[in-house]
Amino acid sequence: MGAYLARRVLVLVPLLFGVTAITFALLVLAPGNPVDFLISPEERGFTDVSVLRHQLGLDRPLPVQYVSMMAELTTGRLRSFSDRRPTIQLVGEALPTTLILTATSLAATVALAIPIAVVSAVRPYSGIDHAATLFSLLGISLPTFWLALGLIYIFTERLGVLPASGLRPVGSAGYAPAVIWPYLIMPTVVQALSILPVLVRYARSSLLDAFGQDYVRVARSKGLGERAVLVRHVGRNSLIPVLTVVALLLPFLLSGSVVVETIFALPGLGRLAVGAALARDYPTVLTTTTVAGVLVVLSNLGADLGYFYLDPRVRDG
Amino acid sequence: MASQLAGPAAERGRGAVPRTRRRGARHRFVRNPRAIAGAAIMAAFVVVAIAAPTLAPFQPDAPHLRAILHPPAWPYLLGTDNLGRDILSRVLVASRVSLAIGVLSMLVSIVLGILVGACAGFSAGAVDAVLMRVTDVVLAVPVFFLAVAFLALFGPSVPGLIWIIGLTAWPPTARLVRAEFLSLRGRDFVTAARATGASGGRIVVRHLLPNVVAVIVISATLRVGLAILTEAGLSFLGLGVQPPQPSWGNIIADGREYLATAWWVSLFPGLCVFLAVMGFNLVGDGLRDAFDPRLQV
Amino acid sequence: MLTRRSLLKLGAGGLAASAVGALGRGSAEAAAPPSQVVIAIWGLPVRILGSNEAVFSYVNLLINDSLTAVDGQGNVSGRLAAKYPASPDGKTYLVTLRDAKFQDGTPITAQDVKFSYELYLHPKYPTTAPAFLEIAGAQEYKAGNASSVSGITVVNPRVVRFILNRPYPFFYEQIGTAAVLPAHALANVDVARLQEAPYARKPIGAGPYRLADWRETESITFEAFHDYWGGAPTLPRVVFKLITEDATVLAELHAGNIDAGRILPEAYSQFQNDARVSTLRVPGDTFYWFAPNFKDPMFQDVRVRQAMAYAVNREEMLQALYRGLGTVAQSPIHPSLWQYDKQLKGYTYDPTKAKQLLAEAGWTPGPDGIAQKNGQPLRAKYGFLAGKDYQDQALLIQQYLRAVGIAIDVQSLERGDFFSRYFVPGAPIELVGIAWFNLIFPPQAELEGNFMSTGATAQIIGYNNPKMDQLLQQVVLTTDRKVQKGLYDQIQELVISDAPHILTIRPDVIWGLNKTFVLPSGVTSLRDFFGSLPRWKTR
Repeated sequence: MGAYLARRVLVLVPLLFGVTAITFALLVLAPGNPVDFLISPEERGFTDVSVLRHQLGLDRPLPVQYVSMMAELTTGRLRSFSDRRPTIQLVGEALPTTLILTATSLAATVALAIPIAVVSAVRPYSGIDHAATLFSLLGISLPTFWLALGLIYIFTERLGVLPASGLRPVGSAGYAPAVIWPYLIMPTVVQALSILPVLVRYARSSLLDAFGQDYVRVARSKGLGERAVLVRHVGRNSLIPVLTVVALLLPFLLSGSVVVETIFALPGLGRLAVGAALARDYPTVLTTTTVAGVLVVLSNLGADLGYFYLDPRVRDG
Repeated sequence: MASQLAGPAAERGRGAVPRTRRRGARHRFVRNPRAIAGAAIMAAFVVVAIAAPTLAPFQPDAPHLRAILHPPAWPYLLGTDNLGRDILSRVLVASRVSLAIGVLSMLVSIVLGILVGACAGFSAGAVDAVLMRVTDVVLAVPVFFLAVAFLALFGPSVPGLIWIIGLTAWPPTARLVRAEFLSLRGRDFVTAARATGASGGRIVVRHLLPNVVAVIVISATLRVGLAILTEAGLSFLGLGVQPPQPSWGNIIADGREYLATAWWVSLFPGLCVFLAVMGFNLVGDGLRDAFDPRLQV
Repeated sequence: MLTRRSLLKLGAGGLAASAVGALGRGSAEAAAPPSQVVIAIWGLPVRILGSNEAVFSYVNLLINDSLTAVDGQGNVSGRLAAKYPASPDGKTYLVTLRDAKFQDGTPITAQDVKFSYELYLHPKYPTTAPAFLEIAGAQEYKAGNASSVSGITVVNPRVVRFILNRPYPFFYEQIGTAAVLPAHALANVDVARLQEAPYARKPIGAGPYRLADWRETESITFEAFHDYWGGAPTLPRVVFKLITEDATVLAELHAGNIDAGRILPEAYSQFQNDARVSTLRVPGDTFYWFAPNFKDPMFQDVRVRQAMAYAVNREEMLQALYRGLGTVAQSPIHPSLWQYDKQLKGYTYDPTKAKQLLAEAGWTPGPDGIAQKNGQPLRAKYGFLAGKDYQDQALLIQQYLRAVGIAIDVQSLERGDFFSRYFVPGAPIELVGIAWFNLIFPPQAELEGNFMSTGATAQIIGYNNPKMDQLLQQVVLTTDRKVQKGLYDQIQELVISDAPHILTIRPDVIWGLNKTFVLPSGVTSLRDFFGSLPRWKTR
């Protein structure tokens, strides 16, 4: 077990280098000099570009830039091109928002998916099953930004009951749930709907599978009611693996957060990444990519571990 | 790792789909009302996309400055945008680009996915490990960054978009194909085929590939839906199809300022995206139910 | 008995109650006068020191102060400088500071003034405003050959003397308007790493508002500086909230979650009879134009350029894109400034005249309607900076030009591409469409950049007109405003007749404003809007 874990963690290192190297290569191949973004066009005439380039280390050979930036990144000293603050700090400020949104979205998805899956699995191919499938298909077919704009129109513009921008009322700070929960409602709905079908599908077939299992037949033959069968025997065995799949949905939520954070003006990682990429702020892009990569890999690891522990057959086989 | 995504069914070697099952699948598909509805929607969009220029009542680019932000009414059946361009015409013509990007990028990702997945699943050992790590890396790089860089490299072009979306979408397919290969490798008929001296290539083509087809076809239809959504999202952020060429995504982006005053500009292209993706998803769903509802695709 | 159902009902009820409390505007709040104003802004600056970003200029108005200032009409007034006479030869300015403090309570001294200008002229400071080089000894200091700027002398703690190389007429407008920074807070800073200094995140300025909280992608909060020399600001707190989506700004205005925000022309009529929100229209800072590449022989003939100018129906563009809320732009100078030529007669919409001019230049309509000369069609690529405004205008311009026989292919260019590949000297542009922002008062620097052969923009498009150069140079040689105005009038006429840029429109900026807030009168520009914040009153 320890060896398995160690192997998985060690894989992180080359993986992260791969991710960042690709990102860096693409960034520098793309035309678009970071310096051009730091000088407004009106000032172009009286700015000494070479001074700025030197200050940002852009006049060094590319491999040197990459290695130096990665070294600074690991020690937390890498600074953004635009405001010269350590990128770790920028990411640190943005990460909680994204994590909170992701957590609430995952919670909402699970809370919705399990009941839908149960209802569908108990009566497969019934009207309810069809409706449930259609509902979750709806989620995966709607463009998230379209849905977001629609929700803003209805709930902020017309009804005035939900705030459409930011994470908290102006002037307040922190992440106290009592303060931020109204701001999270619409973004969470949008995010959750986009991954709901995946989870419903997985849970539903997992349940259907389980219903065919020997131990369920035995429980049924013992005369236990449908509900008891469900809860006691099937529930734990087939739904807990579903939770491990939840961890695998993190990458989709991270991509989705880019658009959602833009529309709802949430100061999260997605928005930071967008701005940095468009401004060719290499250090910030590298940092956000690395952090996103770490999150994805950690969540995969978590899913693997969960599956490993919870499914005795995999553990022993 | 791939096994988790493939799910308990594949784990127990349930991935193979024998020929008799396939005939039954066709039968089951046709009887599934959702699948038929999806197929009808798909067909409708294909027809519309092909016939778009003839169907469009106006030139999609032509501004009608006396009818700016005109609500849906004759002759502008879906209304006009802020330059007075007919939304119906634009949406029709946009269907070509959006669907083309959806289908072509799906092809790119499927082909790549099959190649990588087949290699990994068939070879095993070091090759498999390396390919799976590459898959992990591609999965971990956010689509967005690749989009910005590729857009700059290839220019704001439709081929560029197809490549970006295709090159970021192949890992799930690769994993599925690999899982199929893994589970099929140990099956009797493969051992038997080997025993009769059939070469590696032959085994793949005659025995393994046909059984994987079901998984691939289902994956493909779902990929198209995802690709259309990705294109719409990229266009919304300004990185997709560049104006003035219309795509569903950039028409929605154009209309986002006017939600309160001219909701029709963003509504109808959004509806198109929704319906098109829904159509493909219904078909993919139907195919999955037809072949084996427990397939984790 | 507590059934699951009743529990659910209780829970729902409780949730609803707290929702109403949390989401709606509490009645207790509405009673007291607001202590802050929340303004939705379209961008936040990334840096405070050494920034010339457009959005920073509005922040600068609040947190910093300077020796002199220029108002919306271009007239000079003293701020930190109580007395600022010029010598008869126009080369020496004796500035007497008034009694004023920085936001940390330290008095502002002549030493701070000298320090500030030396910081701006430091060899490692990222940009150099050309006007500062008019100060004697500035060039040497900038080149690293002197340890201080000889032209700036501290006469006593309240008096600074500036000596210029020549009688530069814009000392007050272009040199005196630089922010005065506290020497004690910046004394030991490494200028090469200016952004890493604590000051860069927590500035101590001399302006009416102190930067209290800065969350880069969220908001900036300013708090009133009670000891400001001009009197304490009426509103204790000002917040700039970053909202990039226009739809969201509108929604938040309706819902009452923000107090002010820029709204689209389409939404203008919505608020005409609104109980809570009023509107304010000011001429915008942005004026749109497009320019040809002078290295391309097609556009070297002035008649072709004039034809393009006659071909564009500016009134229609204004009406179609901005509901007519704005003005047709014929001059690059902001209409509220004294330099603006009110009598200027620019181009009218005259496609017939356009075709005539093209014919005179040798371009006759080909079979498909596109003008051609010696077998070559009049066809060009028009690149524009990605953005809805530029895009919409490009499409209309395309139609107008096509109607007189000029065919252009329009192409949207992402910001990175645009500024590094396309809009640089020597780049293969044919026609480019963009907008400029009138941020630098007076317009001399902008005019030089755009139309003088050594200017940055002029170099990109390859414009070189000795007459224009001469006029612009002459302005700087005189301090007589009447003479300057005459020259500026000629310059504006030349911009029209030589058509290096074809100016199109200057849209108004429309603000939606919570009726609780009352602005002082005389707000005629964005600059005035933000500059007037310290004097906003509440009903």
